[in-house]
Amino acid sequence: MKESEQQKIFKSWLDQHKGLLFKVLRAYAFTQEDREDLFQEIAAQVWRSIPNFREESAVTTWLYRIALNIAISWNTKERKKIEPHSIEGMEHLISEKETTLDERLAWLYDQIKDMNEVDKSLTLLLLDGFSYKEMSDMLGITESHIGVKIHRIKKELIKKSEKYEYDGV
Amino acid sequence: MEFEEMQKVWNKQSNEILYVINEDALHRRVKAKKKKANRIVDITEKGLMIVNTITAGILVADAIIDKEGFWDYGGALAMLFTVGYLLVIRRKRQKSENKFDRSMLGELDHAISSTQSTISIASTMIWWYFTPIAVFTISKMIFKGASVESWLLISGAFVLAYFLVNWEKSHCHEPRKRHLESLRQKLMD
Repeated sequence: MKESEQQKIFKSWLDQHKGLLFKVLRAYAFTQEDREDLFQEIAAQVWRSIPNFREESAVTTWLYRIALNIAISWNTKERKKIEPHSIEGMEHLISEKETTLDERLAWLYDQIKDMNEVDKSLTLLLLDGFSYKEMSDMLGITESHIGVKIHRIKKELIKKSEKYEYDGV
Repeated sequence: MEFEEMQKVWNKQSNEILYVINEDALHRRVKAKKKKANRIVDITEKGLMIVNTITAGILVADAIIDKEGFWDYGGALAMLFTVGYLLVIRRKRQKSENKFDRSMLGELDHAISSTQSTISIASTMIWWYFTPIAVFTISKMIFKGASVESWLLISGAFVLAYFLVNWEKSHCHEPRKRHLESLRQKLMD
């Protein structure tokens, strides 16, 4: 595949699906530096994956699979420090837009932030409407196992939301 | 709040674009990262193979010139064995690099097995790489005689190499393997 073609696909994937990648960033990285680092890791892997994409799955499924596989084992401790005076260190990859988030969505992200790495992935997929079958394919565990985990996650979220609605925490 | 309501909140606003991407910077970094990652691994593998092949050549030449080359031929063979081993590992790495459709469990299993093989390489390197070379070098020094400085230098180099390989194993690869195994456990729980 020619690099120009790869670049064209990469750009179109980013334009259409960047929201998906940002959800993963928000769930797994909590400082500007960490988000930039994770975004760079995911973007590099997405770029490399383009020649292997065979359209057997939807682009969203492909991107989620790559982003979650990177995010789950991405570790802030392993993050290499960016040289403060290097060109890399000076230019930001992503900058936050000034948007007012729905208070309940912010609460939801806070709950996801407190989950373990695997539950974070499942919750994102669940909220984005993926089926048990798709989640099972992406995670590599059985649908019934997915069902058990989702039941536990939902129960926990509902319990916490009752507390949130009652006293706002 | 019921879960369906959470999903409504999520669908309503979670697709709003919260960040702006600096596309030029991203493109530069992705390209730089791709080149850097490939270059480092490539140079390390090729470098090791070239050095080992040259060393094997020197040992064979030495054996031919000296006409008493049992240790040298043995050393050369050990060096060529490591070159073959590195070639196999390189081929395996290149094949696995282009796989992007693994499930999370598959990816974790692959990462655990890669880390395990790195740990095994580090462990076996001590026995299959340093030990034969140390035996050949020390035997040669005994048979041909060597100064105290040479003894100190050569022994120091072997001890240093031994500690560096062990340090890398216990400070980088083993903690990574434990981290990956704990993720796998979370996935299976």
